[in-house]
Amino acid sequence: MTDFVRRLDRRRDRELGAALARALATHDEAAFVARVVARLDARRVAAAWETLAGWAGRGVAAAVLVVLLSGLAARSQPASGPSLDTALVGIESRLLLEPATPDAGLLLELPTGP
Amino acid sequence: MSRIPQRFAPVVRIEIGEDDERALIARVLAGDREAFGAIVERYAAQARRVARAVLRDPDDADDAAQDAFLSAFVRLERYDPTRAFGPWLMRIVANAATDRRRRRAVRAAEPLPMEVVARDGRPDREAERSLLSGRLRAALEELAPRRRLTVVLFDAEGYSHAEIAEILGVPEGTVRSDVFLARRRLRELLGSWKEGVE
Repeated sequence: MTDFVRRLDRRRDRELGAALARALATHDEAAFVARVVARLDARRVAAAWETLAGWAGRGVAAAVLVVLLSGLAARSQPASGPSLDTALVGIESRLLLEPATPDAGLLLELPTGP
Repeated sequence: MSRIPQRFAPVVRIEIGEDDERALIARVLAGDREAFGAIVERYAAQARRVARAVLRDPDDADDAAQDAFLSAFVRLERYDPTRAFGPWLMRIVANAATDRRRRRAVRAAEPLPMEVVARDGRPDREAERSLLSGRLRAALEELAPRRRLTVVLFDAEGYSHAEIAEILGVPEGTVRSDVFLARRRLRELLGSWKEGVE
């Protein structure tokens, strides 16, 4: 009996299989496939936003650090000559006191460095 | 078993070349969205039927099947390409459906349709098919979940005993036994229905 059962079980019951497939049949496969792919797309977009949000946080922190370091570096450097503001004030004063025709040489007096 | 009408067309399981499938999976891993759509299209009907074998409600079954495809996508890097893809995917589908069934309350069984007769007194063939399908679904519900899955995977989906053992994580002998016992129980249930109708 056991051998007989074993032999029978190897063969697929095609009638039963067809009836089961019909009983469990689904429809509109195209719509189902589209929904699955759409869910995958939505998941990818959500994952991309999460990654960007992570990078944005790090980017802001890096930018703040750069600004702080630049400020510290600027303060630590000694003054090497008249600043641009000082030179401009001098030029304005001379324009007021001297003849109306401006002297091009004034422009050459502008400091070229910091 | 009482003879099931021959007019039910046999399920045609489309055999896809293994090389084609491996190439598709490689493309999915490389980020090819269309390749993923092709995989889903290939297995959608089967996954939905297997999920429906576990979850009676078609919407629940579709949700479980969708979850399974997405879960398979996430785990695809762990898939061994030397093994068949179908059993690997069906394992995920079976687990997703079983998990969903455990979480949900048991829904009330839909009332079974009685014999339907057309206005002219002749039996409506479509109605007969519908009646049999409804009766089969009810009979499946009488089976233990694992036996239900086993008989559907074997007789409806055409997986071998060894493949079903892999899908369900049970010994092959258990699968053989489940198929035998499931068929016997279905025979009893459908046989009593046929006697009632005739």
